Amino acid sequence: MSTVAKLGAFLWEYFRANLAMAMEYRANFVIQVFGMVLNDALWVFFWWLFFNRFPQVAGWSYQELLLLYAVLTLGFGLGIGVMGNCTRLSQIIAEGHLDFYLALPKNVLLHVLVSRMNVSALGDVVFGLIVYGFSGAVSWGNTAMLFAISILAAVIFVSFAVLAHSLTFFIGNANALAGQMFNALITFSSYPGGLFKGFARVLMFTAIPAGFISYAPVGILGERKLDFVLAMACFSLVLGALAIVVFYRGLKRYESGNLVSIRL
Amino acid sequence: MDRDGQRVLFHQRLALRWGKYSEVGKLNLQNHLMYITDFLWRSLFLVIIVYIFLQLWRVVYASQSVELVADYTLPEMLWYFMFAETIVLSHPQLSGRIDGDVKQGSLAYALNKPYSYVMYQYATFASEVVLRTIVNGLVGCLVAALAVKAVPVSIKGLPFLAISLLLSLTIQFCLLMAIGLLAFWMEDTTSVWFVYQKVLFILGGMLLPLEVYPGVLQRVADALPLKYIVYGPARLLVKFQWSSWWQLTRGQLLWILGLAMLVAGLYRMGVKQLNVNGG
Repeated sequence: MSTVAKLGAFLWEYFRANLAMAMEYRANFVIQVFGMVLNDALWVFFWWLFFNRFPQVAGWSYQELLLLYAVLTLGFGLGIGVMGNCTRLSQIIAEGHLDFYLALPKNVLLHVLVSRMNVSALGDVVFGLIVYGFSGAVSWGNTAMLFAISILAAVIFVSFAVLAHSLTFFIGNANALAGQMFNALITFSSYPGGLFKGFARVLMFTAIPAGFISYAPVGILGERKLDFVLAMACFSLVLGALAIVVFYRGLKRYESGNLVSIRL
Repeated sequence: MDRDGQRVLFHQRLALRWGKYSEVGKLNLQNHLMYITDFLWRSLFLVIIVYIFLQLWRVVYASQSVELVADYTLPEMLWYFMFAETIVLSHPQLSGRIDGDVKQGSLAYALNKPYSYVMYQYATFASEVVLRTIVNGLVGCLVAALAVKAVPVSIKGLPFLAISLLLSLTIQFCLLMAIGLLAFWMEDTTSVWFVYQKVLFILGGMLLPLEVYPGVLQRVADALPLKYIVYGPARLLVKFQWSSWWQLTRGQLLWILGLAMLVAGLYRMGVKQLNVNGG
């Protein structure tokens, strides 16, 4: 079996185990998923109110905003749902919980990331599909573009979280800083890209890489959709590689606190 | 005992009763002051969101070619939004703490102590909100002033606004406490809090002033306590009037009365069915 196939199988087995664990508390699972769908629906309701009063915002229509939310929630749900530990990485590093993963013969970063599933983020996946259904842009071509862009968005979310939380290796517990950086990414991603000009736009394609997500409707509906996906794929690859390099550079500086912990 | 003696005794008891909660508040405040940089990091979000809404409103005012949206000028709209966001960001997720206390059984330890668990939580909540509001408010005012190069705030109304904020945090405390206490009957209250938070964003008037909404939604918001938490104080900041301040205060006091009774009822019902295993 090739390395990629082995990693895929590892990912799948962990996903199944995490899902089975979450389903053990079925009522709680349903409440969390449904709660997140409702939560996302209220954001879209806000935008409906906004577009109802002001039909065009920076050249964007309500349909385009629905597509933006479809990509945002699908990308977030796939990334954070499956790799739930990416937003808790600082805590894991600072509290010495990495010891457990270092002793096992698996890819350390991948193993840490997939060890926990974010159940409520699965609600985002459900919502992403629903909102796409209501966007009025459903077609085979658009669906393929939606999934391609959402998977790339998931790579951006996870990579950025890993990069931000890896700061803990270098500057001590960076949980608050990394949390704020990740919040900034989500916040900038959830508003129409057309709002931002000049320096803010540069920032959104570099330090806070929300640009590709907030311009996602252009990628689905625009005339140069293939160019968009290709550019986004290159960007995601570079960001992903950077996150891996920074994490493993940081890992060399990691010092164990000999913490004894039990994983249940 | 004569009447004067009784009065002195009453005042002493009252001072003793409220004094301990003010000490709890002071201790909590000192504790949070140790992590002031953490508070400043959190204010970074305020800077980002105010910047985004500045862009959003600039585009809207320009595309509509109007000076006023509802009855707000662009600087007023941005200051309104900044202050509404400041209020919401200054409220910690109390329901999560209560939920944890109920599930982990920590609440049981408070039952045999000479204080009320609910009042203890109120003292810690209020002191934290005061500190957060000051830090966020200062950062927010600076950002808004730089963004629109105007300060459309009535200075004479500020002391009264402080009273409105105190009542606003009390309403928020009651609602968050009620959500947290649901943990006696629910496995996890996080989802309830999530949904409540978004409803507060919309019907509380954080994202948009209520005047911008359609009439039906305005009537729904009028029937709920949420507008007394965010919309009322935020509007007062940019459009202070004695009549609206009094109207707001009256509404806030009435809602506090009703919600305090709800919290007391939920707490009593919950504690009755509390089971503590081991220690």
